[in-house]
Amino acid sequence: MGHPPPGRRDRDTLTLKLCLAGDAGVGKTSLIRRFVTDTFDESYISTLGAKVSSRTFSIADPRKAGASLAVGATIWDVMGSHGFREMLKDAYFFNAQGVLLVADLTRLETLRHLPGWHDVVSSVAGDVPVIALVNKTDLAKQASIPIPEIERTLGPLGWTWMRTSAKTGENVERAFAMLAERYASSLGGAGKPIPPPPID
Amino acid sequence: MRPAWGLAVLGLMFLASGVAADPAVTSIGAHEGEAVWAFSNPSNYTFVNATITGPGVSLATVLGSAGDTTQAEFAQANATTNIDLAGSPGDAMIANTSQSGVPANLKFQPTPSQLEDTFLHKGGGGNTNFGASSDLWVGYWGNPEWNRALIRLPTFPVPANATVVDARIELYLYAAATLDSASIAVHRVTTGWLELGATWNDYDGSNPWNASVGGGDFDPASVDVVAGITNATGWYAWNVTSLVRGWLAGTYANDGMLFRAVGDDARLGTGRKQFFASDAPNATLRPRFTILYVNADSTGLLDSRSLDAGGAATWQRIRWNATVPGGTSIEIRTRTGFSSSVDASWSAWSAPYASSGDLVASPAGRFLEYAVLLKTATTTSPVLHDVSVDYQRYASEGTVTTEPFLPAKLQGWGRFDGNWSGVPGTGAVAAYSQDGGASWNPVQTGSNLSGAILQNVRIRLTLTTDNTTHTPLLVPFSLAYSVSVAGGGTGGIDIPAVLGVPVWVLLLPFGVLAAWVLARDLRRVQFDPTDLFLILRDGRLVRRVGGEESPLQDELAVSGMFTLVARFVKDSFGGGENGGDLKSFRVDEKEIEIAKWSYLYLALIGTGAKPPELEENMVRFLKKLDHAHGTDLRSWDGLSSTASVVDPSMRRFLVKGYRRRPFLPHSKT
Repeated sequence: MGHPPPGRRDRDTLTLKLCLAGDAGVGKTSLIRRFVTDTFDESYISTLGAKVSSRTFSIADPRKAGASLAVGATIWDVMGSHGFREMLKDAYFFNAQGVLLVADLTRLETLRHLPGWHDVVSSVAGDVPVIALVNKTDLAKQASIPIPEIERTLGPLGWTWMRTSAKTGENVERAFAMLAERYASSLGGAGKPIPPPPID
Repeated sequence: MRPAWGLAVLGLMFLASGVAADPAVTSIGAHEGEAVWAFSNPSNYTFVNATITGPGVSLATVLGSAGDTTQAEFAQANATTNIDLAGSPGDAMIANTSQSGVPANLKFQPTPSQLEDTFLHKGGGGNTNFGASSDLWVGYWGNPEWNRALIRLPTFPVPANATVVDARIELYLYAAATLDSASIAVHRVTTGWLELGATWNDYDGSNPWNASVGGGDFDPASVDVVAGITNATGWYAWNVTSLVRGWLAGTYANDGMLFRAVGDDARLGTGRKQFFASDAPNATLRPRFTILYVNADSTGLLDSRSLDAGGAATWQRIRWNATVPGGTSIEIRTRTGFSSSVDASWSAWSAPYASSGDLVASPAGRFLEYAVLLKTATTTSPVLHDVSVDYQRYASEGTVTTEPFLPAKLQGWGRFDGNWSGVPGTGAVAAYSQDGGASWNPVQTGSNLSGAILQNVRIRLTLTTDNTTHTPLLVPFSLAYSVSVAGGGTGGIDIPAVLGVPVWVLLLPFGVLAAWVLARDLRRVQFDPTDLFLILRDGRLVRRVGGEESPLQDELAVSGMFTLVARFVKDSFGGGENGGDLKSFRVDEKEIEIAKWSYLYLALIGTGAKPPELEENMVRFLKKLDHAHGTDLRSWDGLSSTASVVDPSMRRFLVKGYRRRPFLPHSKT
């Protein structure tokens, strides 16, 4: 990845830690592979339980109309099994600036597990921007979750959600950019302090 | 592409050397040291209702659930209206399901298939059935004509448990044979009949009516009478409320109603009145009904007892189990407060929750009430089986206690520094013990423990909060001390002798050895640092300064991976006296030295022999960064403009700061 190092950037850049969470097999790794040019082999996920990739891109700078803001994002992919989720959550989700919660369009239970994943994330990272992705729209001809069911599950939680496909690229760039924009729009004061905020 | 560094990290992490357990001991002068407890190794502490959170220690989280399941629990409800808790112990349901709701006014004009109607005719034409006729004739018109009409609505389009307030039938008079004024009465029919069979003599075309004169069997008491019907065309209405109520209630069989001229059995001639039947071509002029009824719409309300989280809490998710048949519903709301009875501290009721498992919308509070509104439009009640609400809060008090600490050659205890952060109402106090925890002496940050005896010391930090939705956060704390210098002969320290020989003579060989080591170091290749990385514990690379020689191809990803690997190493090697921190590794000719302080990592890349004091200098540097820029770093918003404040310090450190000698003078400069 050929972006300039933080210490040498001429213009302001934003370094973010973005995480993906969701059941095993929902397509988290494929979404990341679609978004980044990988540096580390995916065997790291089974070795360490997680893997970090990065990507630089630009979003609108919320502090200055018409200006863009360079983003250097680290994308954290974690093994979807429950055991790893519990074991790694402190290191993995700690101080994340945004989380993509991923479900599989062809498996309803993965959608219903998203609130549980969110609980895990928020217990470590606090209140962070969340976008839910219902992935594998390229398989929509197979048994798929009806949109009303998605609305019924995610609507009350107040999350933005979108359908994605790692295979066709549908909404993949948009999801990551939107997550970065969500965080950037909160800038103006200090970032989230590393000490955890009060529960409420 | 997989960089060589990534492989090297994985390969070398198993060989990584350990570090001393908490406290980390550093020298801050020739005769002074400082012990720092940074919570890097949980096994070096005793936690009671406290836990390591991020870079510090907070009160432990208490997870719990409160709710109602049993009859006794439901029975403690603050208020109930029309609720039955005894019918199915452990459940709550509507007691009376026959309550009235909003009135409905039904106008109904049946089609021919929906309405059975005919008229009985005695006279010209003989004993004929008129079930398919478009006419309904009523009246006695002298010998030989006598008419009575039969109408039956088999099904009333009102809910089974509705209460009929008013029911009327209207017939349209389109002609009259005479101008006579007739009173036409409606009666309840007492014998079933067939629309296409009934005649004056027979109820089904073959079996005679019970009445000897024929003309239908009916209750002689009329239900309603409309008088003064002459030849004026138009609608005429009869009140049949009692009839409809009786039929719907099953008080008597629905055999329909009979219309006849009052006095026809006394041969009072009032002519023939001609109404349209349901088979009339003009559908708008067929018999019609107007029924005013009230739907059953029963409700039951249970306002629960105050569920207690034991302290101010964030209520998480509300769950319930219920049986909700068709036509019934359950609405659940919540409100929260800080006193056991509702007062000004309580929130307003939330909106109804969409489904079990929803996040509680009410704000934090110690107590929670839920209100359940059970509704039914039928005689069946929904049944609430149980309600539970999860909550999360902090313990109100917790402690973290260090293990006994006694530095070698202790000469005196020094300054204690401990800091914490938190909102008003939270707090932390410190105390120390020198008798194994039997007694504790309070100590404040910045105060000096010079009065403490030269024994080991344990430090205990007590965290408190009066609002258990908040916790204080304790950050690393330190204790300074002074030590004697063996054989130094300075600072007024007595130089001991052994068998009459001054100790310095005995230590002379060690001095020679030190000189040899010094000379060997001088021959080594000078250390040449190239890159310096400042990384947050969350894996984000804050700054990088230095040259371009680093083989790192993706420094952002590598920084994140680095924290994962460091965690992996610590989990693999930690737990004993060895803290398990990844301190250094080597890739080809590159030396990578790593230091950690609280929430910061510092990675220095260079070639050549590392100065022995490098590790201490790096830790010291991190401390200074935290001291000078902790506000920006700890809350780093991710913007490079915010982090660039550390650039000058990092560059200075890379150029020469790493070489500063905190302890013994060293030959290499």
